[in-house]
Amino acid sequence: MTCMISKIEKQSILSSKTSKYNIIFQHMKHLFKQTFFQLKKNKVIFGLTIIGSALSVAGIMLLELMIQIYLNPTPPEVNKERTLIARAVQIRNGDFTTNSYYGIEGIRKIWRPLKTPELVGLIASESKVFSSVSKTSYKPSTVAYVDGNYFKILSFDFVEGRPFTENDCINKRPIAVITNKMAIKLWGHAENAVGKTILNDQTPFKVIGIVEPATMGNFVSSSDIWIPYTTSEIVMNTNDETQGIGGGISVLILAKNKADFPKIQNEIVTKCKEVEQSYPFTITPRTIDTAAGMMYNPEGWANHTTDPSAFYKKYGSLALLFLLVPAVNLLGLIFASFKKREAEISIRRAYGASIGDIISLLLRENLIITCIGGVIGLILAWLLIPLIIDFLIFHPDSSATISIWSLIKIEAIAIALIISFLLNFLCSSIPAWRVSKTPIVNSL
Amino acid sequence: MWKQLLHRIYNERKQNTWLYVELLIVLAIIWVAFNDLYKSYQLSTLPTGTNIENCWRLRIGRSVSTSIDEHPDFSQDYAAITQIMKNIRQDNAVDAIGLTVNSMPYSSNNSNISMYLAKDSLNNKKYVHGVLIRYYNKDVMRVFRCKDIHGRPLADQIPAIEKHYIIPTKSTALKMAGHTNIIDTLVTGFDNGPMPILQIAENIRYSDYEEVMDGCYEVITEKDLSEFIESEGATSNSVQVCLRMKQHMTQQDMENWLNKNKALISTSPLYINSATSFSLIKAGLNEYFVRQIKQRVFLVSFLLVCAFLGILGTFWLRTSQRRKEIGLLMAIGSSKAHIILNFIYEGLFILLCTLPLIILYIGYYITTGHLSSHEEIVIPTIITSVLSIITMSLLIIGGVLISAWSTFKIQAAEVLHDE
Repeated sequence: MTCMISKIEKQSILSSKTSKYNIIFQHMKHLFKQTFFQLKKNKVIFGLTIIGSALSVAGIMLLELMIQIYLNPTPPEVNKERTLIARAVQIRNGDFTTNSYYGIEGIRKIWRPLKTPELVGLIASESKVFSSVSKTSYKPSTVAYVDGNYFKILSFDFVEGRPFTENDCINKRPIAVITNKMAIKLWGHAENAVGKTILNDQTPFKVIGIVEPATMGNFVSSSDIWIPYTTSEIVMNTNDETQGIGGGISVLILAKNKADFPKIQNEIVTKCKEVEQSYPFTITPRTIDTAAGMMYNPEGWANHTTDPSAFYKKYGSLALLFLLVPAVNLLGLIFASFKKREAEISIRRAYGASIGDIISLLLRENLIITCIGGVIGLILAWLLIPLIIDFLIFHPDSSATISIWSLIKIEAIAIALIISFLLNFLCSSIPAWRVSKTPIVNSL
Repeated sequence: MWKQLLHRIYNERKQNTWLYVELLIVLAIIWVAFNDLYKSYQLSTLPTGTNIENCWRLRIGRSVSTSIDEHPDFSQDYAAITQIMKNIRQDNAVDAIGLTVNSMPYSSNNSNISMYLAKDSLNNKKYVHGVLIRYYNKDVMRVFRCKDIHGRPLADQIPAIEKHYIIPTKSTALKMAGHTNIIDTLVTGFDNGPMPILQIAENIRYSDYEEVMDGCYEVITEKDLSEFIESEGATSNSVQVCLRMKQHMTQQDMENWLNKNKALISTSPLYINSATSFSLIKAGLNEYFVRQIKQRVFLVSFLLVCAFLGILGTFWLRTSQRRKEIGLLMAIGSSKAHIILNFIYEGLFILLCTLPLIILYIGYYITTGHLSSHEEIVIPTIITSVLSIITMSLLIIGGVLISAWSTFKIQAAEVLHDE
């Protein structure tokens, strides 16, 4: 008997659930029908509303994709979130001032002794001609002089061979890691390049590793060739006005965690003060950037601010602009299209619909329209990115690319939908409220 | 006519308010963007103080294979470089060749000094800070065709007897002395002690998109060059051989020329290992500014499209709501052009109404120092304001014409029948 009752209860619960879903389904069907009827009736106005929403979503998505390209930790720069990069130091001696990268003495005396970071690596780049033994080239490639820690901080995808170590650097081994693109430039193909010889001027260097080139948005991993820093006369030079404190080296700092950034910044300022005691000039660290800072100041200019609020101010105001102008547009269009439906709304109210019901109906209808705009905007942003990426994103290697597929992520779609909701709420709530408040008698 | 126009605008006040707000925002943004773009354009047309047409930077490499541990011997380097330059100079295709240290144009080197007239009393020193210094001799000046303030080549004015001189640019001279009649005056601030002014050079700029920078040429001697090049401080980056060819050459042409003259470009222990055109070097330095300009153009285009859609929508609604009025006007003999003009006047009048607020905004923009970096403010402001208003007017006219085009499909008889 109990079992029978329980069976009946289950069936009744099941059928009540089914009918509930059925009601929701019917309701949604009705809403879609009604929205598409309105859309057909006012093709131009709704068309413009959809295009307006699409442009707004596309504008914000472009900003979002740009930030994604700069900030997403992608190989080889997988530790972007907890990496700092120091690219400028100011040396001042009376009337003489110079802003430069760090020199080898600066690395030894200021950066190497730091206690807070997990690892400190270095990189200095220049344009230089590297030839194969059989073919002389006059076209320079980008060479990066790096240390062993550089390959520990970054995670390169080795197609063949291995990276070099700190030991290789200390022993000044004439070895090189090159990209497969560089191997093709040198020998016409990238197969079996490990073990081959390349000429740095006339000095032979043995290739020990082949890596994939860095994708767009990865600054410190962008190069054609990597060789031990100790083999470079430029990096090791200490015979200048700055006595080796300034030079051509950028410092990569891997923090144990992001929270250590301020501590590292303080430690470096203290260290510079300590080191400058033994020199006739002052040493001021400039431009120590996070990944966001790199995005704001990709060229590493010493006179640029490293204050993150400047970054948020710039991109926040751009986002507001992308939202505001289309929003003002849409507000006018939506208000006019709602106004046209005053009679229909009054009849609904006369039949008992509350103001809340009317607002909710108009908002839901408009949400469908803005969602269509959102999806179009999302597609538009992805289509536009390859066309405008060259001037949207700075990259040291102008031929660097990025796969558009790698940018298609759930977060990006979620952001587009949130913007659609926001835009819908911004542009339809006030007109819906105003229209629904119109006295029934007047409208009828 | 004005009364009717005002009446019509008042009747449609709600829609017009939205249109007004939109036009106001877009006009303000477009003005700022146009102003920035115009300023960049103006800067890009100003002289940079150096002529890099057909100029190439040659890099020096070591032709003798050295082991990594072996310390290179620099003692023969200066003699080798001068020999290579002498060889190259003899080629018919070459116009001029010179050697400088770390100060070729567009080199990204912004090392600077502070200087003042030596004769000034202690309390009256007019320091000029941040003076961009370029170490050039006669040959380098010939390569880059540096000129004095009267347009005469500086290379022709450097005496044959080698001596230390400086050639400040016009802006530096004016800041130091208030005038340019300071030839032969001694200037302090250099490693080699006070140096006499040989001539005043025309202004120089760091890049094509930056304002004039205070600058100064220090005329270097053979001894300075040889001391530097034979020291450990010399690197392939800092030793800059600059070449001017008589004719334009592509990268491939230059590589062919170098391959053809292999014997000329190599003197043990050095050789020329690469050549990069100055137009490429310049493009590298200007890349940041060009990217900024492209971003602004993109932003303005985006906003213009948005604004156009807004204007189109507003006028579409307005014309479709006033179909009957249009039909009746057509029935009593109004021409299409007359009706369209009425709509255009309405749009332009609303645009005109935004001007007082825009003028206040421009005033605020100027007084808060956004435009103070350039000497001339009035003319560029007028030009960019006119351009912005013309652009917005064109958008309004376009929006009205498209909206009216659909409405004019209506027949007067149809409207009269409805009535």
